[in-house]
Amino acid sequence: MLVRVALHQTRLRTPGLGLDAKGVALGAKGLVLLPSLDRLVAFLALFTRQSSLEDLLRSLRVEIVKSKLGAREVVLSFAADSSDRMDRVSEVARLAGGYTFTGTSRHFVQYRDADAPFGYDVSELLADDAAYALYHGSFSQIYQSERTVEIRSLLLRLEPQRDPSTLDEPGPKWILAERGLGPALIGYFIRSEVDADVGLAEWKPESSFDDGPVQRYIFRVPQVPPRMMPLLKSTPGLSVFQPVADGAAVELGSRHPVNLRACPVFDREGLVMFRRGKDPLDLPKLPALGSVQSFARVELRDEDTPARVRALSAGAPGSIQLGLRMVPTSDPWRGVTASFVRTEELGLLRRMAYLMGPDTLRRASIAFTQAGAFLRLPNGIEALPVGEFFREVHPALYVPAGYDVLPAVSPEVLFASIGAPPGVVLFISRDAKIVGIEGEKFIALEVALLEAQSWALLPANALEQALATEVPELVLTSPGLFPMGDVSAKAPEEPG
Amino acid sequence: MADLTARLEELAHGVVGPLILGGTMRLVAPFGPQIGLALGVGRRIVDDNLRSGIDVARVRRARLLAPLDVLPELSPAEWAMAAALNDLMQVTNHELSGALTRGRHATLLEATGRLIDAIAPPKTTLEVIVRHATFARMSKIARKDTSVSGWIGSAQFRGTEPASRYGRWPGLKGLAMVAKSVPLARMTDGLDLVAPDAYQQKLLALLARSPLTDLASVTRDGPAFTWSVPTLSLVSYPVGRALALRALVRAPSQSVVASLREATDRLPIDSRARPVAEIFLREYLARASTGSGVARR
Repeated sequence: MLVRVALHQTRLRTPGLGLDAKGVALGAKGLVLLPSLDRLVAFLALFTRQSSLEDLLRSLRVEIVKSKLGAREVVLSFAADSSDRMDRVSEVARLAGGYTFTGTSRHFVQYRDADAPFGYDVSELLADDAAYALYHGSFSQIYQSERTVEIRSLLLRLEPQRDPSTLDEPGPKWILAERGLGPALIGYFIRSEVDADVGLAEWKPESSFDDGPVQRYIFRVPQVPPRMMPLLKSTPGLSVFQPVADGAAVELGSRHPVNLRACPVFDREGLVMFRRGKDPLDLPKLPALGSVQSFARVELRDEDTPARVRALSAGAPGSIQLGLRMVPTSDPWRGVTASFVRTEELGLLRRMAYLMGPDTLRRASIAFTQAGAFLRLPNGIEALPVGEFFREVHPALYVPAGYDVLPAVSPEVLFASIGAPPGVVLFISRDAKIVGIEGEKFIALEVALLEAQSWALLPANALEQALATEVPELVLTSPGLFPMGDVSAKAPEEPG
Repeated sequence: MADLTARLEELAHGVVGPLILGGTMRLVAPFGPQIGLALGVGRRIVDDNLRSGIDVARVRRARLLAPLDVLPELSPAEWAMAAALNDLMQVTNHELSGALTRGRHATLLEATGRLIDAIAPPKTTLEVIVRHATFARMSKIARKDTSVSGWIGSAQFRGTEPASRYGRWPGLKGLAMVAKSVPLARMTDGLDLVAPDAYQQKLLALLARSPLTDLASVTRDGPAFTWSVPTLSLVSYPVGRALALRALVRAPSQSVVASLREATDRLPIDSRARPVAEIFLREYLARASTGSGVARR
């Protein structure tokens, strides 16, 4: 039923099918037919390893369709902007066991393959009012749409896979504590001088027998000291989550089957926490977060202690306010722990990455911006001699190396005057412009370098089964009366 | 003229199935180069159960190295390799020849060599993985030999169970039965009709047709690992190197380093292959020293 589109062919029979600039038959939409939901998950997992779903998501629609014989399959339709996009989708779909089609409204023909580089057209259309009429080299089938599947709800239903390698991933963490453990954990963080924000999140009651909403403490910790990790991971009632994308975090020790960073379906204002073996916790909006230091114990003096200093009534401060200036200084460089690598210098950084030692790679963190990347290395940025160097004057404030701030106020005052929200790291450039980067955006350099590697953790049972196969044992028997008959024989004609 | 579909089916049940799924391997009549090469062209296993079992086990094996969900069916080259493996093991079968046909072993060994030479090395990374998925356990094949000794005399049983008469009244006869497992590389033991070196040379050539299998079994007892064109081609590009390093993850690092260094030292100093082998060895050493995914034993 399908005919190949020829070079320079201008007219096609399928309604809504046209030829793009390269002469490839292309409709307004692309469509992938997958045999089941698990194949859909495989497709998403494969696709998101290589590229982002962001472009597709705007027009993406996933439906369960039913053929005339009652077989249910999955159809994934999206805007086919170009044959480049379709080629990419088609390759991934083929790997996931699906077929790719293109068309505009109801009639979809098989997308081009090695056999027909310009695509296919149909010789005869199926006369039916079904939602989809699909024409493939090996079948022509009509499908009725049964229901729509939301990508977000599908991602929420997927169970994270075990991945011990995430246990040692550096960077910020979310910690979820049951209500009874929250105050103890706050005290622990204060005593250990760990910088953390805390909030009290509420979920609706799990059943009508519950007295009220379920409350849990939620902590955002920019850097958990390694000595605390065993306690946090092993204490019942505490769960540690690794942020993997805006609005999504996965429990430490596991990994979501789909690369969530490539699926921007979660609200940035909220947080979805994927737990292994349990339902994910969905917070549509993050609760108000405040520093744990606010809970530190306070001591009040006696009321009758006379005030030693009498405050004067404050005048209008505007009269002596100064603009910030950066001036070169000849002081020796100290605490140079960050650098700014412009976009055009990133190639150099990439080449240098091959020469860096494992310790440097592990400790360095990087955040990408439009203008370039900010690199941080706590034990000295000299190990990464690229870009403009910055020195750390405050845990979240950097000034250019070789420059001083004028007026020469203390870094704490300077930081407070900028008024940046907690968790934001500030960089003051040589022309005194201030750039703020969210601390969470700094990811380990080694993670950033290896992001493009396509590699998925195997389920443990598959590993065990593959390794536990019985050893083949050879038993020798007589090969028969004329065993050498075929050794010098000629091969017969090929079948078919 | 041989019915190739039937021959393929018996090879699948006797050799390929047990090789991939485990169990008892029963050799079939030798194929020779012509039949071996034509065996898998346009044919597949007829037994659906066996075919699907093999498919699943191959995917499991491949997923130890790469995130693949589907593997293509056994290719004609893989069937030719399976036929070559069958023929090579038949060379060590004492039942192959009689008193007047002792030359069969040498003839078959020479024909098997021609068959192996005619099998093209893998051309793509997927083909490398696919071949490894099929032949990963080749170096695990073993034969059970039993020696029986007692006051009535002694007897050797190569790859067969001792005759049932030895099992009766073992105490009375004072018989001692010792079973030993003979690996693939030493299957010529007890058969003086085949030169062990020639046999091992052919085995090495067959292993090289699946370069990932060759590298993954670098610590095998024999034949000693040697760099070949397919193995060097595999480690000459980053993806191939990554695959090879993953395949070596479960092998004891000290033995791996020793085998690789020995094989690299055997390469001529001024050859272009030597830097490729040295880079791979250095990369493995770097991983072994940081302990990232390498077994330390």
